Amino acid sequence: MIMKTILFLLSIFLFWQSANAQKEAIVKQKVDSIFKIIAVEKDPEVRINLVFRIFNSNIEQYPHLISYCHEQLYKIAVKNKDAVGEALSWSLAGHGYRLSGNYIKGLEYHQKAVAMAEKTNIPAALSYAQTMLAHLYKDRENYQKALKLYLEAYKIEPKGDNEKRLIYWIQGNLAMVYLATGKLDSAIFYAQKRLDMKLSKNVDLHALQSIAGAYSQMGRIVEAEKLYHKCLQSLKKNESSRMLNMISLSLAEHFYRHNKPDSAAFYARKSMEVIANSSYAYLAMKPAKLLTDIYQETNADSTIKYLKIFRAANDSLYSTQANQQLQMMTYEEDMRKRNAESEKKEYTNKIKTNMMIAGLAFFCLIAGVLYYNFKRKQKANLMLETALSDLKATQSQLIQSEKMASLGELTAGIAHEIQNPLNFINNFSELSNELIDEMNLEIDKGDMEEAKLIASDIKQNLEKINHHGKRADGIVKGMLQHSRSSSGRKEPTNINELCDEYLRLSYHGLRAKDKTFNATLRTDFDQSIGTLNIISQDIGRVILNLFTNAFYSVNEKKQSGIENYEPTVSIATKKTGNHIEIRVSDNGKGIPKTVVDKIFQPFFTTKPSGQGTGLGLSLSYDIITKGHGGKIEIETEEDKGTTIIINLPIQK
Amino acid sequence: MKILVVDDEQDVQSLFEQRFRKEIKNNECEFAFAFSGEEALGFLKEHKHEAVLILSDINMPGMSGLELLAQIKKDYEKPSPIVMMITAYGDDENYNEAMKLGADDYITKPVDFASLKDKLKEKL
Repeated sequence: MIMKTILFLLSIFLFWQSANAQKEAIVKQKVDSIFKIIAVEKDPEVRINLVFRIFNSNIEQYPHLISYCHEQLYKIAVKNKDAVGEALSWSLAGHGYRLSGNYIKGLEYHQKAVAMAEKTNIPAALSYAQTMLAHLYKDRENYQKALKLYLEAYKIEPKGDNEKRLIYWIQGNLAMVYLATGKLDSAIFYAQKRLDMKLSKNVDLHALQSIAGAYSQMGRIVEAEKLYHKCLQSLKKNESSRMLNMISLSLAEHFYRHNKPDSAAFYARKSMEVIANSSYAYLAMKPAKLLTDIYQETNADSTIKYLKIFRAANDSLYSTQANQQLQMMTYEEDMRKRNAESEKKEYTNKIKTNMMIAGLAFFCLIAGVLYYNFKRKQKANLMLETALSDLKATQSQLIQSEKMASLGELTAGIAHEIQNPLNFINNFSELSNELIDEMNLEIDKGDMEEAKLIASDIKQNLEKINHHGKRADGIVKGMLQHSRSSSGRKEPTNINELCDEYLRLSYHGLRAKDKTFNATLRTDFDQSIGTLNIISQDIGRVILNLFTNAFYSVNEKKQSGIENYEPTVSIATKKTGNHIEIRVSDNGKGIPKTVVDKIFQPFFTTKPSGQGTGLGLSLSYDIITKGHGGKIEIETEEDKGTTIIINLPIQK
Repeated sequence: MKILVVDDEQDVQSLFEQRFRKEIKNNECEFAFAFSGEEALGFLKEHKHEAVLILSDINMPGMSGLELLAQIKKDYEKPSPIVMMITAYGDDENYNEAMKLGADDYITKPVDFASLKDKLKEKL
């Protein structure tokens, strides 16, 4: 079986070498046509796809064609200011140098490509650049670095054709890296994944030879050789020399591993032959090393021959200088990446800071708005307070003017009330004076009986003088009390006397204003009441107000010309349980039902404007309910009369 | 001769009795007292033509002096009793009203008793 395979392989290799030169012109033509499209394509994703097509067009076989592609793509990218195209062009350049074994230049350009691709923010571009860079590290057997890059590139989302193509490539390379590092299961896993993608209609030599290699290492020789056989059968006439080199080497290693040195040597030599005299000469290193090992004990000449070849390739690739330079560049790349990361971190921090500042500004704004509202409310409150204090001042002024108005009503009454006692005082004192003269005459006459009679008259007069003096005094005191502000002190007061006094005062007050007015006054005082603890000025004001209203009402009714109408105002006091009831009644016009609910409201008045303040009953209501804890109620019927009932609690 | 004094002040009686002490003693005149207009009318009804002169206050609770005056002048055809008004209100309105109603005189308080005595002597 093996011989058959070898014969087959030989025929391919022979054909391949003759056809090589012709093919290059065809590939170049194809590539040029793709560049024409790239030059006018607007969508970067499509441009990436076109570059991938260039890769799939066998340019790998012609490293200087790759350089040509780089130049073309670079020119177009610069002209179109296309960062994606430029990044891809640097990858192409790096690829070209890598394939010709110039890893230093290759690394330089791949690093440049990654740096540029990072800036494009197009995942496919970056993933591609990273994959291309990873290839170089894979070639250099820096598997750790290669694996890291491949896995990073592998993170790409498989959303489009480009991404799927990349994943396909990376899977193949991951399989190779895992194979090289002895992680055979992983190698088979990724190779199988790649096969499952079925992205190419051709046999996937890449994946198959990886699996075959893994089987070989696992000792599954039959399965491995079956796969190798399939690979060899699937080789195309224009198969790339790299692929032929790779498969041949893999087979050689397989045979060497399983103690078939002749077959191993055969494939190792084939592996060298396919790349002989090409720019891939350096790929002779591994097979040469293998041949050296094979011939080490049996054929000294051959050993030396292959050792020379190995050394030549090894030197070109792994010279101390080249190694150092590559390490430096890797180091620099790492530095660049770290810088980029720290820049990114800085950027993130900056964003965070900015967001924090924005948040702070936002809160400041809210705080400002709240503060503004607070200030406005404060201002409004201040205005309200001012308005309130103005209102309070106005209210107290109104109360005062109500007091003064009722005082005015009283004045005439007071004058009349005072006039009478003063007249009596004057008259009785004059008379007494005369009586004393008379008495002296009688004494002189010796009529002591008559003298004593006169003396008793004088005494009577003096009592009258005293009585009327006190009467006048009481009136003046009452007037003063009325005009004074309420002391707010409750004192024992004789309710009956208070009511009588104010009845007379208000009656005469009204009479003073309207001389034709007259009314019948009825009093019904419960003498068992005694004194009650009240603020007498306040209650006096209430009673005065009720009388004033009653007299006003009966006067109105009388002036309407009703015949046989006898205006009557009554006051009655009564002790009921622990309450004192004061009823002020009139037979006047009564209060219409429509307004009866309003009469205790401030500024409500039925009197013509200017005649009432509208505060009388409102104040009375406050004095009785708030000031004395009592009740004030009204019973009224239109054209029949009104009764106001005050209930005051007896306080111990 | 009988004089009816109408006033709601009770002490008016004592005052007149003392002021006209001599006249009463000498039986020159006789006083009767009423403390409201209504009472005065009742007295006049009971003692027809006894009282020849009426001295009335104007400002009284119930029937006022002016009402009393009007009533007297209405009830008693001529010769109606002489009605003299005595009042604290010295204003024109009351005076005019009283005169209109046929008052024979109008005296303002405080009463000058000497002048009143002269007037009474003159009228009688």
